[in-house]
Amino acid sequence: MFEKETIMHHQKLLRLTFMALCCDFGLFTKRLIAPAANIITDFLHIPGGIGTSFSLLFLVTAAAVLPKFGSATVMGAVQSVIALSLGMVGSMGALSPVGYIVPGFVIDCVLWACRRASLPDTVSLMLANMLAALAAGLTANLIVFHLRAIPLLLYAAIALLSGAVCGLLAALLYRRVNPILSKGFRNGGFINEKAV
Amino acid sequence: MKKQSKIIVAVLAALFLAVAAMACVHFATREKVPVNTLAIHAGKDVVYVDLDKLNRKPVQGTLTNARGDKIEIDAQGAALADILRMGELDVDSIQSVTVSAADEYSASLSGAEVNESEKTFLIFGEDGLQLVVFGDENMKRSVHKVVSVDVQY
Repeated sequence: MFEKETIMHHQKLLRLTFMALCCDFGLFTKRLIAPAANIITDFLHIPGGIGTSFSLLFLVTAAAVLPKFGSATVMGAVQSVIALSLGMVGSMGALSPVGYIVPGFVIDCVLWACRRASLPDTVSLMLANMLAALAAGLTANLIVFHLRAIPLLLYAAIALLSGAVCGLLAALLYRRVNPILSKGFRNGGFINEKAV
Repeated sequence: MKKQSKIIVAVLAALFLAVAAMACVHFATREKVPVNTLAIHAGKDVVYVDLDKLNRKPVQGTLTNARGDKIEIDAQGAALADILRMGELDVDSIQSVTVSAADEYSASLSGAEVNESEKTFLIFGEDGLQLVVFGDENMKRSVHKVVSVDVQY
């Protein structure tokens, strides 16, 4: 009984650590991919939409790894605190937490609905990433961009397309990571196997 | 191919087509501003200001970004009010101005801000014309690659 509790505790810790890592990855990879994403968005004459989709794939993966409603919203809130504390508020200024929390909430809602509908993981993660990217784009438009109808539609379409591609990447990452994170529970713990 | 894979490929193809279609519509309907020119809209009138004929002067000052870092500006440019006067506009009665970039990003300025001395400038940066608003708490209104100005009376 004690051994099982210890293994579950380690597994939970591992998942929480993975979630924390994903928060950081989500924040910082956006900056890494920005130059490449800007080539496409500059060509299309829209102010963004691709970098956010890429950063959201980490939130989607972590939310799938810890399948509880609210996990992505909490991660979004954590990201907004990190961003505020590091001054990475971008053009949203003090409203930047909204830009992080709204996509997180959308991920939670979509994954919850997909679990209820028993959809396959790949489809669920793709849908979650697509709709979260769309939500992030629309939030940014509401707060900052105020685009006209046609550029807004193009912006939404590119957010959905890049969200779908990044959602597939999230599914790939989830398939690789989830067995490792579940191993402790199934096989008697791999983190601290000898200790338990 | 599995049914799930077919659905995913179909969704990706549909989204790609949607992006291509929207991009075509966007390119066809967006305003085409000639190179090295600034379009000034005032109601239904459009005036194109030749940037080569602009009376450039040194613009120097300090901007503060969202992190609170100070950024020194030392470039060639002109006051926005002077540029609007080149388009033969009555600058004193302007209510507001919207400055837009090539990527549709835009920032609004009040008439008072435009008329305030040493406040709003368009400078020549590395990537084209850039709006500079001195005194802002962040650089939210530092629009890059400016192509048009919309004036409201």
